[in-house]
Amino acid sequence: MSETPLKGQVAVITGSARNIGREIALQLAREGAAIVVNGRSDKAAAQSVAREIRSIGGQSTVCMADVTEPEAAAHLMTTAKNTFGRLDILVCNAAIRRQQPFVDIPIEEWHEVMNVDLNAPFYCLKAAIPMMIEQKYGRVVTIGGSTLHLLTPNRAHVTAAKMGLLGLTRAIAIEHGEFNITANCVAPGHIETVRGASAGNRSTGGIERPIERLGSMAEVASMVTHLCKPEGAYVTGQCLHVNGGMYMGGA
Amino acid sequence: MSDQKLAGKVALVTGSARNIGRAIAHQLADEGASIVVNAVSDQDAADTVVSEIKAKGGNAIACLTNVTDVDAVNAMVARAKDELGGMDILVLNASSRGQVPFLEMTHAQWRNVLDITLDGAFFCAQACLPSMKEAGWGRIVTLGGISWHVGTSTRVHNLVSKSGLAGFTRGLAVEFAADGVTVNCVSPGFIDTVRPASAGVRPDHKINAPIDRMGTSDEIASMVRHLCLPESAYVTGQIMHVNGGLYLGGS
Repeated sequence: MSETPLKGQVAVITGSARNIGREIALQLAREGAAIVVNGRSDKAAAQSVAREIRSIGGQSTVCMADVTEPEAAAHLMTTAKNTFGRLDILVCNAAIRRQQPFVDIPIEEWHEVMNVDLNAPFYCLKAAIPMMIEQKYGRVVTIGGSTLHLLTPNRAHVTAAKMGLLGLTRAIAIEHGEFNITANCVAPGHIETVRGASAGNRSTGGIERPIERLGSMAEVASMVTHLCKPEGAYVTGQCLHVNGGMYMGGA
Repeated sequence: MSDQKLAGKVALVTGSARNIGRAIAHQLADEGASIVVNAVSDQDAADTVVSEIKAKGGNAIACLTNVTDVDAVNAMVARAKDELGGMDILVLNASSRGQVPFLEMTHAQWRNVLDITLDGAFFCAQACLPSMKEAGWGRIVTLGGISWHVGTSTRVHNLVSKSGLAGFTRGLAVEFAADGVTVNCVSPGFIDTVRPASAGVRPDHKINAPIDRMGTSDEIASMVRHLCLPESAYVTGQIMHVNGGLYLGGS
């Protein structure tokens, strides 16, 4: 077993300045991939992740980009190619979560969530997939959520966007298998992230977790990493749940 | 290998003298686990796998045991604990597949498949779980199959046994979550195994898989291995499809 199975590969992780995205960036770096760290506004945090990667002997660069802008999303992918020569792995992690009873959701908030959670992955994929097709190799991982699978109230926009993201993931998988491109969704349960104020309280929805504790970011990232390794080549179009058994999937 | 994450663990892989079971035995051994190579009758094949593992510096014993025989299963697990020092990982891989039109299926054929796949799982799990519970750590991985997800004719016994095994997986996942034991199912698509005559010809679902080739035993084994690693502690009760996108799961 090679100790760095992703050596020579290049990965872009959207929203990787903190939390799950940061953890994914670090794990992929440990497996040998060069990393493009992306954030929208907190440049210091992104730079800190990039430094952390270099301190463990990895390669990294920072690209600040608001992926809800098609040009910025394309620029992010081009940065990977211009800096490291290719683009093998795209992890669509950037997302926002809002909590609002359906009747109170302002139209602006609906569009805001759609933009970040669904349109941005489309813009990123639109730029990344042609590069992957040309290389005849690619790994796409989107980060889903437990909201759409459980009975979580007050998140109609997040539920709709993440459901759409799963559909997008499957569509990417179906159309690009012949180019050795896989696309999968990793759906975290309740994870011990540092939550942005906008995310509101962790919604339990009265759900009991067979594994009672919160999951760690490393536990989510390790599934992403597994899917990105060469040995993950036959897994595509799937939604893989890392949630302590809180939801057991639709089989 | 310095990087072995299952060093000190003991794994029983049922039906591991060949094909997917053999690949799983090898990959768990590569992570440092001591392996019980189990087969029902082919001593030479089981011995060969043991020799291969030992040649790589691993530890393994061969155990010819019919998993439908509760006393024999208990004896096998006792021997494993005695000779290898514990019982931490159980991979329920042994199964039998036949193709028989339902109206021609004898009760003996029906029983045989259910005996191996379900009763075998029951006996093995009952024998192995006490030590996992005691250790506060354990991994059970069952091997499912795509047939019951997509619907395949002339395999009613297989569909019933594999869907039952998924229920078995989820039931144990919930019941033993507090004991640090995770229980998951890996569901292979079409894999380039050497098929025994009893399995019949590979069914043609006339579904175009996004990844238009058969999967390898190693691609199945790597998902099993991933679920057995310490970092997969938060994944339980899940069905992981490794099928090239042939079936995209119920999400």
